[in-house]
Amino acid sequence: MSTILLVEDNEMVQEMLAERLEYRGFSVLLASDGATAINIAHQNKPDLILMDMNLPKIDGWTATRRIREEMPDHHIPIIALTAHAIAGDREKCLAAGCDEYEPKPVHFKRLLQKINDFLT
Amino acid sequence: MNESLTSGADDTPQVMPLINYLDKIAHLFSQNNDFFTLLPLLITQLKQHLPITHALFATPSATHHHYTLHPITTTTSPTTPIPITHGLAGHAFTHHTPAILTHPPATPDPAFPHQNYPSILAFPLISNNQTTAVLLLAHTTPQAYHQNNLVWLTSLATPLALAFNHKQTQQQLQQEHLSRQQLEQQLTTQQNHLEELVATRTAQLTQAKEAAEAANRTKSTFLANMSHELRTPLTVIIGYAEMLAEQTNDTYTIDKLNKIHLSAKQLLSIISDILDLSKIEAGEMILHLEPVPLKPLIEHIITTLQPLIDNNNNQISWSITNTIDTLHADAQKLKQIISNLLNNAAKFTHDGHITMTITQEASNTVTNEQDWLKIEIKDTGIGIPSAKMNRLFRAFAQIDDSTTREYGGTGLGLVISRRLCQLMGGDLTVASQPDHGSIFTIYLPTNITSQQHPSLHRLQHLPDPNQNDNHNNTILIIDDDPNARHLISQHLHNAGYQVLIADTGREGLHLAATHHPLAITLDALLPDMTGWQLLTTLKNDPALTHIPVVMLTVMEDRQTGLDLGATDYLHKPIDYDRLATVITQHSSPQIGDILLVEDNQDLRHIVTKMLTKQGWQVRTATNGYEALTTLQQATPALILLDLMMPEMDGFQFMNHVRQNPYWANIPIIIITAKKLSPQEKEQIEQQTQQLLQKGSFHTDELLSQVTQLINQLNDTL
Repeated sequence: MSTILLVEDNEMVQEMLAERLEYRGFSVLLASDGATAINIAHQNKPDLILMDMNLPKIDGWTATRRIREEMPDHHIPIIALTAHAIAGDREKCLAAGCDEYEPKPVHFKRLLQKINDFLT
Repeated sequence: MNESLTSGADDTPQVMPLINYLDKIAHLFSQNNDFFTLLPLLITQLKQHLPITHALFATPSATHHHYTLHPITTTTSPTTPIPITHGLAGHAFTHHTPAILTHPPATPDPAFPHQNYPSILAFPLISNNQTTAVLLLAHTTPQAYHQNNLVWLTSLATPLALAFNHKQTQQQLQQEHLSRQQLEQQLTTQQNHLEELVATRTAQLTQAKEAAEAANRTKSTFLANMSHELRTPLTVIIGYAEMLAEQTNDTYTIDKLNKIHLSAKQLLSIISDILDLSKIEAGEMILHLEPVPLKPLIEHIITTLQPLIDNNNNQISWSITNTIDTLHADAQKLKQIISNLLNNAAKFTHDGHITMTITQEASNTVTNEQDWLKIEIKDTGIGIPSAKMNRLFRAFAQIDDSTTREYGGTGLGLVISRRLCQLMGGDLTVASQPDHGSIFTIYLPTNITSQQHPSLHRLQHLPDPNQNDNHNNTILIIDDDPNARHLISQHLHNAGYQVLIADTGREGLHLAATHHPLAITLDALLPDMTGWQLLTTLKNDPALTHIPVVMLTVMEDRQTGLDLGATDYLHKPIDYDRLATVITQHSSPQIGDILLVEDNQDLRHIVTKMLTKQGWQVRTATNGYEALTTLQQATPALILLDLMMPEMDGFQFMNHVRQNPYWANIPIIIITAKKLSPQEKEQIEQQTQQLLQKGSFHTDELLSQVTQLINQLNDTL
């Protein structure tokens, strides 16, 4: 059973996505800000991170960059979730160290496909 | 002293002393600029040879009906003007000869009302056969003056008259100088005022523009934020609806969950559209240009949309010209545009056919180095009523509410598609017939090179100004916004015009002067001068004043534009179809358009009524100035001209018209009640076609003249 760290500050979205991922058989860890996300990444070493980019305290771009810097030998796939869906976001996310990008609102089936691509 | 003076008066001075004496006087004249300072000195000199008690200087009024007296030996003299025929001075004025009084008259001379002098001498100063002034000498003893006094006195007349003339000329010059100074001062004041006005106006316009832009940005930012806020809860609704539908087997629940899901999705797509549109308007929509293999893209779109096409039992076929392989464009945007159009076609067509044809168009004059991709999407659906075509590309204007009810959607899809096409340097056009279907055509440059200035094309081979006089088909676009320039030029080119482009006022003026375009579209805000300044310059240039100028602006300043001589006025965002119509309307010679210049309101009404009844279009002006402004807006086929008008009369107007090569051939019929001088008759014969005397002409005669002249004009065209 793969473990996914879901970093999302909107409680409703967080709960909904978590429930849907659990229903698909994933074990889900939760974080609502970038600082917590970095801690959990260090401690629990999840199989994959879903990272919202607009986060309080430390934003998604910084958190991703820090995880990549602080865990150079342990590459966790990170899929960026961003609400802007503006061209340029994708490049910005990839530059920060994300492996994939999924514009919000999340198309769940497409997201699942991307998750499975990384985990198999 | 009187005795000695009297005795001296009997004798002519000796020759040598006289010459000496005249020398002195001449010296006096040369030394003294002020004539009236000179006079007392002169009298002092004269007193050596003539007895003088009282001396006056008389000058005529401007009309020569009276004369006025100026004191020489005293400080006072009669101030009221004396009729030119009265008194001894009057005699000198009217007869241009000296006059002597040797005995006391019955009543005192009007020049000396308080003392009845027995001896008076009136000596005229003559210049150019005109008596310009009279010197009056008086003495208390009779027979103080003799004819032989006059002989030597006459020798003084010339220098004295010259000095007086000199003085008068100087005075005139001084006055002229003063009034010129005043005039110059007025001019400077006016100029300063004008500059101030222009500066204020420019500042106001800039401010208004900035305010408008700021407001638009605020609106777009607000929409973007709001859309985001709306999307987050929608995500949750959609997510749970999907999740619950997956987790249950109850068909009733699944059906209801699907309805929640569908509604939320629709809402989401509307919000996405609004977000897209506001991003485009805020200038935040960024293109991602990459080589796009066209065939796979189309295949992918059709596969995705196939269920929707099948829904209404429609068939789809598509073709692509072999030469096209890849397009350099934003794949995502292109997909969005084509999907939207196919989606519409599928939605508004039942049991019909959808055809997509992709071809390449070779470069033309407007788009010199560029090849164009043309994607035509044709359906056999319900079509679009012509009256509603122009609302098609406006935001929130789906044809009517019933369309929304029946087919759903906000109508934003077409607006966004078109804006995206334009963002990539192309455009989206539509042709449709109700009940027969619609054709939407996407035009895109095959190689979109710049994001900020999508396909900026400049006419490379400028038409030869010398060859173009007869078949001038060129429109000059003066606009600093590259997108606006490009779109205007495309639309005008589609309407069959050649296009010249200028992005500054200076360049615009230069191109106007060198190419004499058929018409000009002018942006009100330019980097180097305001559109108003440019318009004024164009309208003040006799060689350019006839060119119709259509102002394009975001400002509500229609009247200013028209007052300054603009032919028409369109607001930004421009309705391009209307622009083409306006240009065509103003740039083609209007046969049957008559300009009636007449200040008499009744006559203006009668003639207008008479002519319009016969099918002529009539424009009117009440004086020459107004008529010139009207001429600048469009050239009429014929001018009916009254001669006597306020401000600028018919003759002045004719001169203006005939001096301008573009107006020189407009036939003019004069209608006048004026009795004409031979010169006036000659001017009219040279400059006009026909003369009709008011009161004597019959309406039938006028009509037949107008008809005849217009027919002649038709024949020559």
